[in-house]
Amino acid sequence: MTSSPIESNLPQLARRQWEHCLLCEHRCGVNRLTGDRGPCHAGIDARVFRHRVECGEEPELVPSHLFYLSGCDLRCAFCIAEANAFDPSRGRILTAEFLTKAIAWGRTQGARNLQWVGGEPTIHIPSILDVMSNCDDVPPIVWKSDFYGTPTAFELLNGVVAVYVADFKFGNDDCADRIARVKNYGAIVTRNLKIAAEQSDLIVRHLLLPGHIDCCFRPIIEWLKAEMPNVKFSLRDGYQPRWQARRHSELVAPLSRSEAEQARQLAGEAELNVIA
Amino acid sequence: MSSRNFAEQLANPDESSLSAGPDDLSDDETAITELTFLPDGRICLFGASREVLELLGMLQLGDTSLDARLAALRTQPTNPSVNSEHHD
Repeated sequence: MTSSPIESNLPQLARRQWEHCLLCEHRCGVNRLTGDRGPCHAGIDARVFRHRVECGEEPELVPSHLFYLSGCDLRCAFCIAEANAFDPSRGRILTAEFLTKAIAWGRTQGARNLQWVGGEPTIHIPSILDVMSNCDDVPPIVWKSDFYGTPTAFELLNGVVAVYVADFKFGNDDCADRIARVKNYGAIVTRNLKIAAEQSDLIVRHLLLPGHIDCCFRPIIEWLKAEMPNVKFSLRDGYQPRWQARRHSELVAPLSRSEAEQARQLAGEAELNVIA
Repeated sequence: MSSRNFAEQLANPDESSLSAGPDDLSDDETAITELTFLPDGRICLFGASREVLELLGMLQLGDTSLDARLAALRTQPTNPSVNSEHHD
């Protein structure tokens, strides 16, 4: 375990984003201090709607102590966190006292790291950094993100995060816009993958979506093969139709066994470094 | 791995292992693992706990992803993240 990885001036630097928020690529620029809200609806408080030690993460991360923060910059119709992900008023306010106690409890459960998940933690970077800077003994940080953040956000995380887990969800902008309501998805995520890889360890995770092998999975593995052939690639085949998935006809059923097998075969043929 | 088998744990639950943590730190979902059994026999896990993985491990399902996580739990090395390499 290590002490706080937060340099003393970093929280102050991050808090400037509250006045003109450019943490995610919606680049709304709202003043969160005065009550303005952008597409994520987040204010200045980060809230934890669940925390627990989990063993279903990538093998090199387990057991991992996950802190689920409410609020997100995407609107994925299939989000497994459902309403908690999109309402930043849900959960208890993240404080240093809470985090200190929670970390201590996590250690008793064998946790090897502290993982920020959501929703989307990027929209809460100022609060997270501030709280962690006031904790004496912070485990290595895992940052599980949709990677729709700005370079500014990643700059704030540089040196803080030990492992990035990037959710590379869509292989084209049309699917991203239709299902998650975000623009210019591919260029942003691929840019951020390169930034993150320069900063720390990186795991690229992809949740296979039914009916999206050709439009999303193939382009993703083709990009990885060309740009990051050795990156750790985590293939998730446990899709379940949750939240508002039924708004999209192809997402109403679980992923078929044949699609899961096809995807693993394609990843193998691409000689990707599949770790899970 | 737990030194007690699953039946024993059911009969005599170890309060410390079932505790989700101090009351002021955890909500009701902390100790819940969601299992979904698909019609074709696949099992999907969300929020997998050590105990659930160990239970599934006893069933010897031959699932490589499950085995890899169980192996990681058994070895419990110091955090590899600190010394891990960059991969691109």
